[in-house]
Amino acid sequence: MKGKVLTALLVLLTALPTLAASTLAISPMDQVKREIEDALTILKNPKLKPQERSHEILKIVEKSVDWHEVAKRVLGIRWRRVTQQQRKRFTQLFKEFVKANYADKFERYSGEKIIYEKEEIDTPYARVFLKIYSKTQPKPISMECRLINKRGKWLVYDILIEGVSMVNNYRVQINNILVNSSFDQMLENLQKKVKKKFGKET
Amino acid sequence: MRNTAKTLLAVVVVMAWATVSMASEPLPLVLASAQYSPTDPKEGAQVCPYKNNIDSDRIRLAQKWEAEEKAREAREKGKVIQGTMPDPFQPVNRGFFWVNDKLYFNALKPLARVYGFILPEDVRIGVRQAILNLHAPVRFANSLLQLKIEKAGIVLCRFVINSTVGLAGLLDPASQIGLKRIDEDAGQTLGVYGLKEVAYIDWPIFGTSCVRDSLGTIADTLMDPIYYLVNGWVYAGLYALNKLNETSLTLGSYESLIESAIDPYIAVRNAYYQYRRELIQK
Repeated sequence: MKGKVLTALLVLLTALPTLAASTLAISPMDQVKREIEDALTILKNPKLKPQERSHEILKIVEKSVDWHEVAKRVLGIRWRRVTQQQRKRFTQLFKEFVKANYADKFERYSGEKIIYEKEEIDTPYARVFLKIYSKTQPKPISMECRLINKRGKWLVYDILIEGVSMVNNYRVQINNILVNSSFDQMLENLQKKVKKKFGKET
Repeated sequence: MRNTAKTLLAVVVVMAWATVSMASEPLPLVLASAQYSPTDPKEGAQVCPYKNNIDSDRIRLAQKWEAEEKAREAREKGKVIQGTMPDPFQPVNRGFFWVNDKLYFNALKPLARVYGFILPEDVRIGVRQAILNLHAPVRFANSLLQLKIEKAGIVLCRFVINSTVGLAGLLDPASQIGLKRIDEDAGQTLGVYGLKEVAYIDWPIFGTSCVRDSLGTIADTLMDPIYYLVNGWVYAGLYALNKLNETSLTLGSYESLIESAIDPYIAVRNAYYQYRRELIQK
């Protein structure tokens, strides 16, 4: 009898993490919504200076993106051909590059309305569809966030605006550069761009 | 008493395992198979009578995982636009890209700024809608050619409502009753019937296009009743006004794309390619 109780208890306890994960885990759409809303709260905060605002928003961007996945997809087939060290350096540089590029872009926000349309989950991947209503655009801008679940957290690995994937766009650019230059030269080039961009800001 | 202690111990062990399993991400295949490898000194040394059976189970499991992983990758690939646009005229295109870039920053942008300064935003939005409304027959024809009857119906209703209640298209009451703007052009029609881009073309002044979409633009012009109703110069003026008006409403978009690019030419070409493919699929 006791054995049976013990078995039942064990089965229950084994099932618990799965149950907890399914009920407590936040849906990809809620996750994206929370991150965007956090960013909007910062943007609308008049007490913060523009630089402080972009610094705070970049912090959200940094932790909501899976940079490893982004870098892997941007390099595409070349990811397998380069050394572990080159991968690491590229991931780090690309992250800095994206952050430097978008640091001053957030200030362009002018009260556009965001509608969270739907989500599609295909474990461990998910897609969240948004519509951005801007007065100056002829029609709402459709945006799609692609996420991957890592350790129970949904992380963004690509963003598509009107069907234009950022990862795909950078992949084509980098592949084109790599036709004529080596991987290390490309890294140098990227580093220069990051430095130039950061130099401009300060 | 001892049984209770045993139960407690079991509970603690299971909870510890649960915490670890929740905290760690799923083991990659290589790691997972290494961990269960029979050559593992911890367990592999003791020969178990069922070893072969267990091994084949593990292999089956590993194969299953691998198959699942491959299926997942394939699904992922299907969602991403692969490939790129053929660009045999790249040196010429790059030249025109440079020219257009200079034209944008030195002529179009300053002009659009002045234009935007004179006309309030709402008026410019009205101008955009009125011009769009004038070309509605082209979108109607293309929707029909693509056998998208519902879209053709929406274009027609929008045209009727916006031309009348919307004061010759200056306002857009149709959108407010749920009739959303439809984007159909002959480039898309050709795309729907299987014509690929053929080659990328960056036209001076007109900007990014490809062989298919350039043919499409010519077809659209020939399908446009306005083209036959007004003088050629007026038609060209309408095009210029639209370009100026659009630029004034979307100042900063082009700059954003250029600034965030590693190679601006490729970034624009690829964005055009992906955008048009998406439109054709819709």
